[in-house]
Amino acid sequence: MSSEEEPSHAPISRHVVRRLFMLAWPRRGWFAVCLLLVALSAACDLTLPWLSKHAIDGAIVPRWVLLPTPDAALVAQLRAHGAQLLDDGRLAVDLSELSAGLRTDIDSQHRLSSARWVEVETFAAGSLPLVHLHDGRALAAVADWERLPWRERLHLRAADRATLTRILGWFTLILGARLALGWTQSFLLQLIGQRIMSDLRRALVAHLLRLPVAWFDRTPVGRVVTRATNDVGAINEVFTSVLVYLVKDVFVVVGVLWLMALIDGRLAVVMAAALPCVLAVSLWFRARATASYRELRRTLGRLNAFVQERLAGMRVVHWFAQEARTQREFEHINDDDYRAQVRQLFVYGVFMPLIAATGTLGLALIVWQGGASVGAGTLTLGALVAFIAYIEMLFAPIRDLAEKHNLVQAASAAAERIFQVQDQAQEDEGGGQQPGARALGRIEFRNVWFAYQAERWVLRDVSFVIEPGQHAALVGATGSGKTTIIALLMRFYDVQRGAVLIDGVDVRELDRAWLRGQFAAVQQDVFLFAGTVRDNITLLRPDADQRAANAVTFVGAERFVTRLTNGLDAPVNERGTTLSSGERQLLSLARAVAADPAVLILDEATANIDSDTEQQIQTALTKLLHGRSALTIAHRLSTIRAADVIVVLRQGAITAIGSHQELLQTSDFYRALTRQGG
Amino acid sequence: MSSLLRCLFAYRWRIVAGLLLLAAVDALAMALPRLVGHVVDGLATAAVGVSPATAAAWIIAITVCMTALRFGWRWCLFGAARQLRRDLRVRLHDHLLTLSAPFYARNPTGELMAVVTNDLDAVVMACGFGVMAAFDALFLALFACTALALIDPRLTAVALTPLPLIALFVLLAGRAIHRRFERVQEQFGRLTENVREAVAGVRVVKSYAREADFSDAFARVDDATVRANRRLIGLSSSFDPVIAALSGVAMAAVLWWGGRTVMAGTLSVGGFVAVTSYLALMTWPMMAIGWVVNLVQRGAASMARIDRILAERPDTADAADARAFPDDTGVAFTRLTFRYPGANRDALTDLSVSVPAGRMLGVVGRTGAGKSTLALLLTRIHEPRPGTIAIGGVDVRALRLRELRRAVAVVPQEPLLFALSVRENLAFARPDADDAAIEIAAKIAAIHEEITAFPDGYATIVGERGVTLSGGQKQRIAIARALLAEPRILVLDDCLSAVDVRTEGAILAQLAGATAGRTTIVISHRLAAVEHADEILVLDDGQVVQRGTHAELSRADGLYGRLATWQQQDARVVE
Repeated sequence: MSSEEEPSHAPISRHVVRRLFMLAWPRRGWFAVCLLLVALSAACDLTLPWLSKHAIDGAIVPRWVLLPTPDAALVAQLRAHGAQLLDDGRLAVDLSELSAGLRTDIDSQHRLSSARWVEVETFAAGSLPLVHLHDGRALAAVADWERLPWRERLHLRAADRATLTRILGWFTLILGARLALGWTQSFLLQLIGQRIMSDLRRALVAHLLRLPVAWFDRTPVGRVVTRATNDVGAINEVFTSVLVYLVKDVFVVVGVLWLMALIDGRLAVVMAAALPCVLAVSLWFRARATASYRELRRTLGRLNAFVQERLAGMRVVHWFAQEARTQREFEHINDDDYRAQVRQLFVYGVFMPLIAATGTLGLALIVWQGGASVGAGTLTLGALVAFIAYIEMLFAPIRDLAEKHNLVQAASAAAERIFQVQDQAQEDEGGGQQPGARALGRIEFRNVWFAYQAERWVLRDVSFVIEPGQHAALVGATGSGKTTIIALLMRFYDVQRGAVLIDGVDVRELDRAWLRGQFAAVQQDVFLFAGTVRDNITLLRPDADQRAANAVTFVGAERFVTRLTNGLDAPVNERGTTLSSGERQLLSLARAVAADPAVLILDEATANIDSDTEQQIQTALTKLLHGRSALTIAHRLSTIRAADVIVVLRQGAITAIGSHQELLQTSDFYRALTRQGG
Repeated sequence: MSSLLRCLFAYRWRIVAGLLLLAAVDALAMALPRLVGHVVDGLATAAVGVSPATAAAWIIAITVCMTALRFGWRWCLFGAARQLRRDLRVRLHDHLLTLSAPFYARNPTGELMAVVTNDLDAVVMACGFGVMAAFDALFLALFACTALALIDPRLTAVALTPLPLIALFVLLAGRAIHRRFERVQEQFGRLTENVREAVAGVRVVKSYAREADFSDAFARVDDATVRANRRLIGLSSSFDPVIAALSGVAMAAVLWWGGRTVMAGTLSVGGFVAVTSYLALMTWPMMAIGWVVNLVQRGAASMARIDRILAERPDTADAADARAFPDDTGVAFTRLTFRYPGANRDALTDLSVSVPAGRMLGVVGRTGAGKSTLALLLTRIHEPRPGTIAIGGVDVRALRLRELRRAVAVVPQEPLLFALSVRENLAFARPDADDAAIEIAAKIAAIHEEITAFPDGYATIVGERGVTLSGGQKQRIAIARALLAEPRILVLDDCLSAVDVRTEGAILAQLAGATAGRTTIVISHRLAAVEHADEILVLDDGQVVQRGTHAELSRADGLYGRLATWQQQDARVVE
């Protein structure tokens, strides 16, 4: 694993964040919908404990007190909250109607925790001593009421039961709403994430395919694949796990604090003061956890790479009888991994319980502070219960904050790598000239100098001409520049000095797609794509059926194609292993035929192919070469002899050029070359 | 399931200790709602109960205990799982080392890797998290039910009714989600492969100017990926909301029934508060039950795959009376016939030849003629029939495998190097070889100069992290590697196919010096490589069609002559 795959600790750059936002911008409408849904479902979450509080304070717990001898100011104040002055001068107060502030005010003068009264049904009250309110309702002292059998007690509290049922109705409704909102929101959000990833992946792949060959020369395949797959996935986390939920968390934290403040301002302040402690614990944990996780990834990566390699190379291990040593090495690596595992276990073992402890310590705080308030009468029981529920809702987002920060960091590192690829310049479109639908096929190299790396010349002053219809053979040792000539012709690279010309026009002046459309290259290493035989022949050209069938007939490959179970639809396995090398060569030829090029480029096979197929390939080649210019990287004497022009290269320079007969007379080097194998 | 339990048996004391600690944590967790309940009751009735300050102190004390105990069970239970991972991995790896070629032919590396990684993870997950979750759920459910029943049995019944639905939902949805997730993974694999191919084949794509169509093809794969994901998230996004809703229903039931009970005065408010807290504690065990069932199922299936591998017996093993490698290194093949497992025709038919010690045998023939099979049988990578191959007059099957393989070195056509330094690769068979010996071997294989030109010389890492070697370079390093093993019999299996003719000639000449006195078998499709052999076999379709020296064969009519003419005619002028 290369170091650049590691999660980075670098600060998140503003520039990257801006570009991440730009990725999300086209979906802003849907994000807005998600935000709305997430806010609504958070509101539902906040409402449920609130409803429980009301059920407890407003229905379940006896809630009336009768205050003796209230002063006029208090009466006036409490009347606004549903209190009624009785004929005997006592003030009947419904405690569930009072705000915390009000309760504190009153409590300084009167004990609100005095004996409670319950509201009862008058018609069923029987012998129970009642106090009648002005609006027809009746109250019974809890002490009296408790002496009745339980059925009767319940029966008497019909009004409270109705209240409870009403609250439960709301409760159920909100549960349903939360289910619908939660499901829709989560689905929608993840779908948006998928769409953003899809857009990005497509753009990236389309971009990749248009990057210059030189870029691929210096970038390993695995790294490119990681950009388009895993890195894109890491970015997705920002949109699906962070962006919207961060807003939700803020909403919930603010909402909880607001509701707490509404119930009891002092207690809310106490709880808010506990938040930084929770945050500190979780940040501390995250830092440690990340470090141990990184180490674990490293050791595990090493271990997997080791096993993978030894499994693939088991034969070598066996051949050299290195089993015992391999065992020892594996155990060493495995123990390393185990130690990293144990270290991670330790970090989690310490911190997960600590994080759980913050929750219970919050509970202790509530019980201590809140309980005292209830004792003093300034807080209702329902409020205390609601506080206990809210404390969890308050702490959870703070705990997750560190997690989210990690996700953003990983995503921003991934995004930076992706953006780096996206910032690579694509190949230009070329000069735009398209001389006719089809080139005549005159190829000229005019004093071409070329180097992959500065000044290390691979071609030195190379000049030659291939007239339309002529067949040229490039001859020379490995590294003499044959492959480079082909690459320059197709403009995979641009020359440093001199010019490559097709039909007399500099290739840089030509439309690049048109230019490449004039060639078909038959490679020695035939690259087959996973897909059908047809796809591999037509390379996904539109009018595939006709082209593929024609090409197969042309190269005489019907025999083996029809032998395949599904003919042209037969799948070509990964890396083309189901086909013999001869069959692969035939497919490659068919691919060239399907392209119908003006110029054919051949990289002759060095390895022997079974003679049957060899014969077939030669026949097909002869037909294909007819009427076309061709450039062959030749390895065989027979091919060289048949060429109209032979270009002999040595260390990037042309040492001889001409026909076979000419060269036999003029070039010692050529004579030496041709003598060797024979 | 039973094999999973067998796995755990070795760690039983650690696990039992962990479970006891877990039970203690769960028991302590029961105290919290009760404490809160008592506080509330104390406040509601102003008579009995605990004062808030005392309760808070108790909660803190309990929290401290729970935190310590939680560390304890994590250390025991998850620690045992990590030990299991380490030990099972070693068992699996060591066993894989003993298995022979037929096994590897049946089981591609990718699939074995999946067992070593995914299946092992699934087993560890079932044995660590699975065991913890199962017992945690059991303890919590047991304790919470007891605690609830002590408060109000009827209310308990009402409250718990919706909860099994959570377990059922997690079980079924979890299963369906897993299936869809695997579908997504498959599709993602396809997508990755598509990108990999487009990049690896980018020169083909460009040379035919097919960029646009390949982008479109990718878009189609990408579409399928989005579709698979949509199916997954359609279901997975329901997970949390449905569970929240179900536990919400339980809460509503408690509010309704519990509310009425409190109204009737038969349950204290504190009791009611405690019930709601216990209920909150019950959600996790219910989810856990669903999870555990799935985890254990997956773990058991994975364990079965691991067990299948562990049950494989190597085809090649030393007999009890296995003999030492003989001094005489003459090799004799006697009526050797071999058919690969699962093949429908013989790879070699009735081959007999003997190579006296110190001599050289050449084997030529076209691709697929059965030449490489000889090397595999001689080293017992595949086991030959008894009595068909002998070294120094002793059947190879009677020899100690380790000694046989130390004495016979094979250089294959497809050399496999490891992602180690060049030096470590060269010294693979002889880790203690000194630099001088390594250099000598590298020089014979004509690779020394190229190695010294690498950025870090002999310390250069082979592969993606270091230098990418050409086929010819790899082949030459493999030759040097075999020479360093100082074999008594050397088998060169077309190991210079990617090296140009002139270099090949030079290497062969050097090798001739280095291998003098060594029994050598040279397998090649190039006749030049075997010209100097004491005897040459010409194989076609698994049968010996001609034999003799180069001089004899060149004169005779037959495949050798035809090959010779063909190779001369189409001689590869240059590489």
